[in-house]
Amino acid sequence: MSSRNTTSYRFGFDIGGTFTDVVVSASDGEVHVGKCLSQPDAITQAVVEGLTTLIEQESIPRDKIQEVISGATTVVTNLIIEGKGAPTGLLTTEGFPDLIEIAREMRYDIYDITARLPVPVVPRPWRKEVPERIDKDGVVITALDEKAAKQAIEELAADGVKSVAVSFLHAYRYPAHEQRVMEIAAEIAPDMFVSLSSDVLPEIREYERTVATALNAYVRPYIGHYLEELEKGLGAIGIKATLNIMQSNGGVISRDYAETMPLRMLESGPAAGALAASHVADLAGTGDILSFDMGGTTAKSCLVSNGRPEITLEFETARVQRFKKGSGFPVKLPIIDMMEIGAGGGSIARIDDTGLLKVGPESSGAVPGPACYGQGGEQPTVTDAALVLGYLDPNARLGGQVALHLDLAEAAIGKYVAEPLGMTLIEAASGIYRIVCENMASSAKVHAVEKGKDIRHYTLAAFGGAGPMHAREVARRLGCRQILVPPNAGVFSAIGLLVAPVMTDAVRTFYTRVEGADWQEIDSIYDDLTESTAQALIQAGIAPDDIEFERSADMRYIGQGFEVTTPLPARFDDATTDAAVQSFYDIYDELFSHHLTTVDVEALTWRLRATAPAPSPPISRRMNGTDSRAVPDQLRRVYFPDAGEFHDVPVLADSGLNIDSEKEGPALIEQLGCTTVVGPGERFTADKHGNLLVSLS
Amino acid sequence: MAKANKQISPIDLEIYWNRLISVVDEAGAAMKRTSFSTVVRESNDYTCVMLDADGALLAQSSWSVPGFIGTTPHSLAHFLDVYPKDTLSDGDIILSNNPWIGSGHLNDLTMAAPIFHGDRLVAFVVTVAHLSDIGGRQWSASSTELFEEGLHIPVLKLYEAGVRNDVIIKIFEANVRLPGQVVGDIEAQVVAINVVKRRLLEFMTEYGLDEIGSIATAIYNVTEDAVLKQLRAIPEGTYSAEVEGDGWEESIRIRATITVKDGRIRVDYSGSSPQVRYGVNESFNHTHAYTVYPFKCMLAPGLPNNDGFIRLFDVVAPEGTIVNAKFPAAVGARQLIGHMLQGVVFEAIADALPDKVQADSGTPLTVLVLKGLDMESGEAFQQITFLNGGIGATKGRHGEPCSSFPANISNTPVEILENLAPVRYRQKIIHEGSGGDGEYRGGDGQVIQLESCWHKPMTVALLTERTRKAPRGVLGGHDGACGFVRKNGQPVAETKGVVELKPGDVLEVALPGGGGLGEPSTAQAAE
Repeated sequence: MSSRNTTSYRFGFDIGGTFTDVVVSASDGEVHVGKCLSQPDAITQAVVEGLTTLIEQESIPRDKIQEVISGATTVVTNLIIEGKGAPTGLLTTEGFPDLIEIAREMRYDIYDITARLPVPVVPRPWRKEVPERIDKDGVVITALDEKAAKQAIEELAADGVKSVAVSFLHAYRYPAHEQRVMEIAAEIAPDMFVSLSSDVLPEIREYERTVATALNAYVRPYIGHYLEELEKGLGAIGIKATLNIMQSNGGVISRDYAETMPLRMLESGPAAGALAASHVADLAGTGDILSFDMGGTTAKSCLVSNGRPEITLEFETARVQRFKKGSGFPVKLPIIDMMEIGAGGGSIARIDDTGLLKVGPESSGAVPGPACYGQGGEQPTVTDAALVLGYLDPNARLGGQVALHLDLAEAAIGKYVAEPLGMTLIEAASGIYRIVCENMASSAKVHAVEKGKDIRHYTLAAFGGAGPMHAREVARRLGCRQILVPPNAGVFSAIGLLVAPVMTDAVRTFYTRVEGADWQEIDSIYDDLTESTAQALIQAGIAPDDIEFERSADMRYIGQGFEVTTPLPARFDDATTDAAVQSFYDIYDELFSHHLTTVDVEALTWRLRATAPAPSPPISRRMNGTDSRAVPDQLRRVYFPDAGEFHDVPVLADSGLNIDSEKEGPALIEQLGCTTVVGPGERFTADKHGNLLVSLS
Repeated sequence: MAKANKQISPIDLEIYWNRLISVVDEAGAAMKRTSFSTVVRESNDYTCVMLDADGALLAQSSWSVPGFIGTTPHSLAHFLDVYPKDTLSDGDIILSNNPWIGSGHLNDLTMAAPIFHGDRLVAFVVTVAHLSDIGGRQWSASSTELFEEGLHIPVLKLYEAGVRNDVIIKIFEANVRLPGQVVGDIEAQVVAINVVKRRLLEFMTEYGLDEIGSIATAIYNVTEDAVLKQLRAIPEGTYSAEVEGDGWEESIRIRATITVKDGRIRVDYSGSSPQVRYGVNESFNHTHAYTVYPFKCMLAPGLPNNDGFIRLFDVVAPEGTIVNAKFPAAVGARQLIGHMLQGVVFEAIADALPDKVQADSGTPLTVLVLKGLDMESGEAFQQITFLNGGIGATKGRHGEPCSSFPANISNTPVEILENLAPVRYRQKIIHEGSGGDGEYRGGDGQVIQLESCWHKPMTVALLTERTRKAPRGVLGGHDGACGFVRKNGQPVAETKGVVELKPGDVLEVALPGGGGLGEPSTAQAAE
């Protein structure tokens, strides 16, 4: 143990739907983790309690906690999904009050004529038109009618609207009209929250920009309140640390910045999971990974290449149908690219109209849960199949809490799968297992192709309650040769909070051909972006010299409909045109395996990312064990579908494994909250950081 | 259940079936990403399918627009007439863009390749995609024969045993406006074909299969059984309806007589208008696809497309009618008719299946082609933009406003269009009240106003419908409102023609609303 006097601490927490995970790392890197039940009505309470328990357990001096990182996974998302945001108004250019409802005019399911589109967060009466018009070059065509703007805000305030979004056409080129509205609002309705499209997403395409601005406005009052409550709660237990906030782009940022841009906190928990996976992969030296987080309802995957999680600009929130692309609101901010499908421990197995077996996306949820929980769940689930196959211990309590009932699992699978299909219980259970794994593997394959990657060269980094149990079958179907199971796989996402860099992104649209572009003008855009991003990082406690900047631009061939984000050099000079075009060709080759030289290239949007690395990344340490069994002399009968037979398999405790000594499967390796399945002939080793590595044959 | 199902367990069949779809989806994703065509990327105007060794549809990529449902087996059959199966070898790729062989207009290029496992032909792969350009006049309804509409490639081999015929590529390059992009599009289709070949063979190796015919039969049988279960909800008998569209010089009538009997569906278009002089004529394949589509929505929205569904249909469209025009009719804007077929099918079936139908929509979508050329400076532009009307109501759901149906084509954002063409939107609003009233209301259309900011006169080619003939309500629901076209506030008479805009002129276009469903009074009583 390190000296308590000189050590400082960083604390992170992730508020999930069921559990709040807490994690503390010391400046020497050592990690401690904890878990407590979330309290939906008093979400900061669970955080304070979880932290108190952890610091008392580990005797951490409260005044040595220097930084607290909030990873409020579900807070922002749930506000939008449940429609519990503030009453929100929208000011638009005259003639365009309906853009937020007209959307992109597409359907998300070509065959389902009963499918509904998402309902805009601002209803028609609260969308106010203001006479003003800016053209594509940022020239004022019609001056802002200040009287009309004032009247609109007064009417909204009188209606009880608490937060206003302002989104004018081409405001990314000329923000002055929007900024003037903000001043007017400050004069006449000082308590009104105002979000400007030129701040939230100063990027071309009015629908996406307006939606992002409206969503930001919608959640802002509540998030401000949440952050105040959190500070109060921490203060009350004597913690005066800097509060930073995890964002969906995989970086943390200051509390004050986050408060004005709460939309950037969407889905920050899964983003942290991908960062954590990237971190352990680096420690284990496995190279590129596919993070694979399988929980109760869904499986989430992210490709991490060269240590960087894939970023997408195509995220959607509050989908009408959770797994249907296009059924939600687009959030065109850079977000860690998570592929999510409806495959988890609670996914229900059923026979559909075709007489074939389907697994998911319907889930038994936490209540009633799988049949084997004995809480009234009737339908068979993935967890029930795992129990019947021997992957789960029928005598153990899941996560130390839920007793498992093998007889109920067998009855459910028998009644709903085995009997109707005329097969044995084992055939049915193995069928559920194979189908859910095939579903996960096939969607990951298509995702990798979309990103221009060859999935077979990736290591599968498995975590979450069900991830390590299904990893080998998924890896086999993907053609991956190695599986990595990190320590603390049950609270793994929260560890990502502590490895996240401090980071922010800024964008500005300026449409130009790359050939003959005015690089001086673009440089002056970057001067603005550099200043604003640096300020945000300094606010989060970063020294100016520690900030790194990365430039990129959204470019395309002239005539194309969408863009490819292309890295740019840090400084612009005479060679920049050639460098930018070459960079576009390179990235085009990577994604599409060819490029053209006969068509000109244009750029629409210029991006800047400012980052500073996280201090002292956390490390887990494995004590050398003796490979002893979890329960002495216990062998469990386990079915391996690929072999088509049962094996008597030793059950090992993860904490008992010897470091760097390779063993041969079959084996079951149990850690708190999950079990890793190693098949016959596969080899596994444990490293000093607590990682478990499995090589598939 | 068929015999094959006894040999393949329902669990294995589920996995095999998912894998085959995953293979074509993976190939579709690869094609979409390597294609240069905006229509392919933004509107999924492509398909990638696997057919069994007999040429029946086995698996189709999930996101394709409805215009490709079931067209590829017809295309392949035509290809095999020219190059019989027993003459094919590994590495052959056959292609054509003939509208009667493919999917209805020259822009769509169809390619097919045999897949061999050892010496045995086990499957075919077919890809279709809308090319970036095909030469000829640009996209419009105003051609009077096919020859105006662009380059026509007959059934030829692009690859012979793995060797590319560069003559074909050179002919493409010489005949299209964007040779680089078009060759890129062709390569994208080849990429997709190779993905399917590789992945299918990997799948067969993984499971130790030397043919996939028995899997295909099992898939068709379970699909057919599932559809037949739903089909029983339609009482056997004959149903008919007729819808009218604006047409060109005179209105167009589409008449459908639907017979449901012995587990089969026959749709007969006898009595529909004869083919017309301009490019709105349909080839049979396109008619077939858009006829089957509404049944898919009603009977099997969640089931993958395959022969088990397609084989239940007999579509009869007399030659020489608007829904089965004869070569060399112009067909370039065939979507203006094709997109209306769903309306006549839904209306005919409405009484039999009131809970499943959708009232007619404010469809087809409107296309505006903006063009300008300044002879003195050489400055020129051409830009296409899409607009959608309201969707018809279904039981339990008011129609959505301004959404694409039955195709799925997104709009061009206001800010993007203003960057690409010298125009300025003055307005883009929901056309309130344009959806037909009903127990469930039709979705509203939209109204846009576009001002020319160019220093010279520009032209706008209009591809509109339903400015005179409204989308109909069903089961007592009211019709949607018609659209209109105005210039500086004055109605434009020829709504499929070309209008000229001088600097400062304003073009106003209203899109029709969708039809309502059910008597409106019921709704009022409920409220």
